[in-house]
Amino acid sequence: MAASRHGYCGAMRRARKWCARAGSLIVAAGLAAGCGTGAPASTSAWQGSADRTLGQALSGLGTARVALRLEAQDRAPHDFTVVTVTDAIDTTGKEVSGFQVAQPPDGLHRANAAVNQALDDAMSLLVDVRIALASPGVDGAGAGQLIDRVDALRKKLDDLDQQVQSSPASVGSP
Amino acid sequence: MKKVFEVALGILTAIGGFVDIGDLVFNAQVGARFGMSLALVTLLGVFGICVFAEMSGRVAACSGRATFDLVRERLGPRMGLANLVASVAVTLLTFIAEIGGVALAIMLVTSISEVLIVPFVGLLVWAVLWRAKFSVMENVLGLLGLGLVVFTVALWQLGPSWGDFVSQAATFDKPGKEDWPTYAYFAVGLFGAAMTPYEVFFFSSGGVEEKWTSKSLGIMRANVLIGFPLGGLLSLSIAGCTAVVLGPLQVDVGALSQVALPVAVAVGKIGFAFVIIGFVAATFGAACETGLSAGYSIAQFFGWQWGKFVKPRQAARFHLVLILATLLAIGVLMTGVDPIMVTEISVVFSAVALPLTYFPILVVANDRDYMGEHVNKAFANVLGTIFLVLIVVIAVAAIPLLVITHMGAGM
Repeated sequence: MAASRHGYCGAMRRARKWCARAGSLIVAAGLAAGCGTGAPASTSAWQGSADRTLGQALSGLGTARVALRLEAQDRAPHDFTVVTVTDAIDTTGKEVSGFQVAQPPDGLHRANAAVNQALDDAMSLLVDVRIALASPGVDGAGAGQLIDRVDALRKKLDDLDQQVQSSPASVGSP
Repeated sequence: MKKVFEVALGILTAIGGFVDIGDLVFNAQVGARFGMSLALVTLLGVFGICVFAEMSGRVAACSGRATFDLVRERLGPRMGLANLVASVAVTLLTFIAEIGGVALAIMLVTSISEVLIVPFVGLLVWAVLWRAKFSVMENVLGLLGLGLVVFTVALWQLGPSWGDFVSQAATFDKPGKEDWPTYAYFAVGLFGAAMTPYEVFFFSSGGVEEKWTSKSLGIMRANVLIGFPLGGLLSLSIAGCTAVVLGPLQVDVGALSQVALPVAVAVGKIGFAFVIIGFVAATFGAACETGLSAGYSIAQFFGWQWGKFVKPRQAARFHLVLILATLLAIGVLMTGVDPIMVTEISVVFSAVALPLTYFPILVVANDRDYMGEHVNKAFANVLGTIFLVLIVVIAVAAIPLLVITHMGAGM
């Protein structure tokens, strides 16, 4: 009985020790990965993050474009097109808010502001599409106008993304 | 005639049952981002699942016991426990993803938040696991899952350039904008989705539930060798549809609604109705299969009475595991966690757990004491060993790729 109790205590001590080591490792890895807030990102990290977020905005707008076409041609139930655009807003919104709270590199504040502005435009257009789809619904002409706005903004985002990748310091300069 | 019907039914349910939430999401994502350039990975995954499902089905038919019933006996409690922990963890994660998938599919037509739908879906899954006959559950859900064939029809209607598709598949090259680690991450995910561990737990335990004997080997092989590849064709159709409709718009699939878009574009409202029926049946069927698989593995490891071929009272601990698994799934999903994210994680962790699932099958299928004259022949061993090596490489690469690619978002 005493022996098994001793074995049990030993196992518990070893388990605690392992937990403590694993905990320290996780904290250390978190600090090493830059979990601390407020530190500016490196230029390449900012570029990667901007690329992902602009890509997500392009994806959201692309989804909205397909939903508008389906609604205008009456090829899918109304509720489905609304859910589709709502999903696009949710997914894009999460990525955009993650990007917007991060600290940009010191030399890229203007570029960061330009990207943020473009992302805000994308979010507002997605919301406009959802509102138009949900109530009162869109006809062919209304859908056409929204699709034109979507296409124009998609082109702008695409150009911006290329500029962010090739010469980030020039983004947002007058 | 009865035999032909039995084979046809088995094949149809295997087709309908092959695609689950992981296949739906990963194939759609891959199609939209990489076109058909990863089609060979899907084919490789289908080939791999055929090799190991045939082995585990043969084990069940020859020994009258499910593969994992034999693992502890054959490999000892330590290896058995490692196997149990890894496979149950992945199966439970997949179970959560499938229940979330059913809720998302229902949300597409009701607009009700999936969090409100989850408890009802969980309750319904549990009721089916508790009350429905095994064969009824398998056949009804498998046949309704055939609604997903609408993806193949939609792809035909969309009229892609078939030559381009073949050349993308054959060149095995990534699109210019993507990086190689992200390409590799999606390859691992596709392979993991095709070879999800629960498929073999369910297949071998289902064989015992249906009282297979060595005379059933023909039916079992027909199910595996025709049903699974045709199921793989559905996966390729999903990827093809998103490649045509969503790829040019640079859409990154992150919601189930996006997976259904190409069908509505190509076939309209009727096609959409089929796709929703297919989504619900495929994810509900997979939820039942994963729930049962979790119960099977735990009960088989501890030597408890298990299965739906006995009354619930006789397999009380098995049914208790099913209840607890359902409550766990509902609890996790009610926190508001994104079911698609759970799906992606479950698919990648499936890849990590693959060696622990498939190595024991190879060992048991080589044991003459259990298998008698149906023990693995050289050809099956060569294929099994090649796939095992591939599986180990994929398992080692999965987590680092998940981290460095930000779950496939790109570096």
